[in-house]
Amino acid sequence: MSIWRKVHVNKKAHAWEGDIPIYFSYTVGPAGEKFFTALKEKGVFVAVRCRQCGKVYLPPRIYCEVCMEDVEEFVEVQPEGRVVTWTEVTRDSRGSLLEKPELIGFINIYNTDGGIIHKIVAKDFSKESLTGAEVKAVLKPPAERSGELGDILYFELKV
Amino acid sequence: MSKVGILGIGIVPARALSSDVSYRELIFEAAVKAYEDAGIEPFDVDTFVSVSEDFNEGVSIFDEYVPDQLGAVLKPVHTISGDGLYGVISVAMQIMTGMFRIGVVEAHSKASNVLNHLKILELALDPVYLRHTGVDPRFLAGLEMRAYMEASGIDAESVARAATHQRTNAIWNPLAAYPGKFSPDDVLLTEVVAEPLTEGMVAQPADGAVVVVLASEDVIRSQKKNQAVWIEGMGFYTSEPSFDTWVWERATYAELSARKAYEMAGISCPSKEISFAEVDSRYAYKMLQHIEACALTDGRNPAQLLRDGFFSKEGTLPVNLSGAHMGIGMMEEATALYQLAFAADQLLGRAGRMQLSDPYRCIIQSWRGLPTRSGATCILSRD
Repeated sequence: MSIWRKVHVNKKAHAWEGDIPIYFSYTVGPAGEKFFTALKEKGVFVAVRCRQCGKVYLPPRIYCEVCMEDVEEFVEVQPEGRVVTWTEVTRDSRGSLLEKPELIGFINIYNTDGGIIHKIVAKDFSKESLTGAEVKAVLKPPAERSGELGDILYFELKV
Repeated sequence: MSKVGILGIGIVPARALSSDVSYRELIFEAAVKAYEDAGIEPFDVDTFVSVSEDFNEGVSIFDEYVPDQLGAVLKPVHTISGDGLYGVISVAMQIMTGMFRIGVVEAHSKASNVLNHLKILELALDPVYLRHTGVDPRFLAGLEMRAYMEASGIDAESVARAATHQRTNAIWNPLAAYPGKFSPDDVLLTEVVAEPLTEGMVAQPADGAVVVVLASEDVIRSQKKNQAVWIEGMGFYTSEPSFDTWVWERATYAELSARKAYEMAGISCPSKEISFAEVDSRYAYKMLQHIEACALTDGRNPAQLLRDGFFSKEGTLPVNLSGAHMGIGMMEEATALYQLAFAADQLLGRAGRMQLSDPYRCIIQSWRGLPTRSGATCILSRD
């Protein structure tokens, strides 16, 4: 048993082109409903605290990954925090060049153990000082919000 | 419990394109080689594991596309989506139960079939909280790399040096698709992917296939092999899977899986008891991060050790002499098994120009890639 012959001429190597056109509607769940409703209606974030270990999750969830306990103590927090780490990207997810490079950061939201990954707009920023910088979310006007992360336009440096 | 060792390995050399064969034929070629190396026929095999991910294959329920070319029709077969080492551990555990004597692990890559790799990676991101950015999903690697660099004091040039270390090592690995002699500056000057990550720090896709035949000690001894390679320790862990609780600067999954494997192998001081290491390096900084996570530096800075030649062939603890992901190629689940095959050859004195002097024991560490916090570790030793 073995491969006796292989295609050895480029033009004779055939390939069949196909794609996977699949579409989803992802349920956000009860914790997600609270988060996105508060974002849309109040312009704040909702986190959730585990009574057993004290960990505060953002985005919220209904269970604690440490204790495996139900968590139900939802708390509202301001959409402000600190840049934990950041990067600058030049291409989109199709590999095409963006109009201009974008800063993306993980922002630890104050009074929580979690955070959000989002665009950061920082004019004249110093690369040395962006990590640890204080930022706040800039949201769409209330009438334009639809209850999704896109309601956050970007985070900007707090002055 | 039965001791488990490697009975045979079959590999198709990695290459950037493989338009001469389909993925099935890649696997078939590796299988034929593996059974020949093991001195068995496919019907001698009791259990099969294929390590693959549907999205990378372009079909769902990929399990059903595996048995024919492996000689696994009418046999127990299952698929693990994770990494090649997960497959090795799965088969080893089956053999350790005593219910199976010979098991096969298959991993392959037909990356050249995929026309838009970034979209597959994007689909792995949480749809509600992560996909919204719409940017190159390797932004996660950029975030992680910066966090690691800032926490460890390692600079981008050191990461670039990790990339060149592996590309250079691959020159002497005939199974590697991306050998090359580059300088750190060459790497730093490639296009920025997600600053500080540059294109030269990202492993490039390759095609290939590996089939590993594992067996119980009695089978291996009955083959009267003069020397065999044994699995002494194993571990696989997922640490914090949600991005909001990631410990950005650490590879906790690797720390945990290495610790478990060391414990199983009875290793108390890895840096002294390991002859060489093969670690995951899909992104060049991961090599340094994983070396630290596997407790191979005794608290010293891995970048400085790399600069001092500590991880080179002539160094105290050679790392990624195979070329790893940067040098062999990015083959998703399969690259770790190319590293395992290289390690087995090292232990058996068959590593050619990269042969070390009398290596006895090694660690192989793998990562499932972005956006996961999952990885596996195996400790191999020889008689």
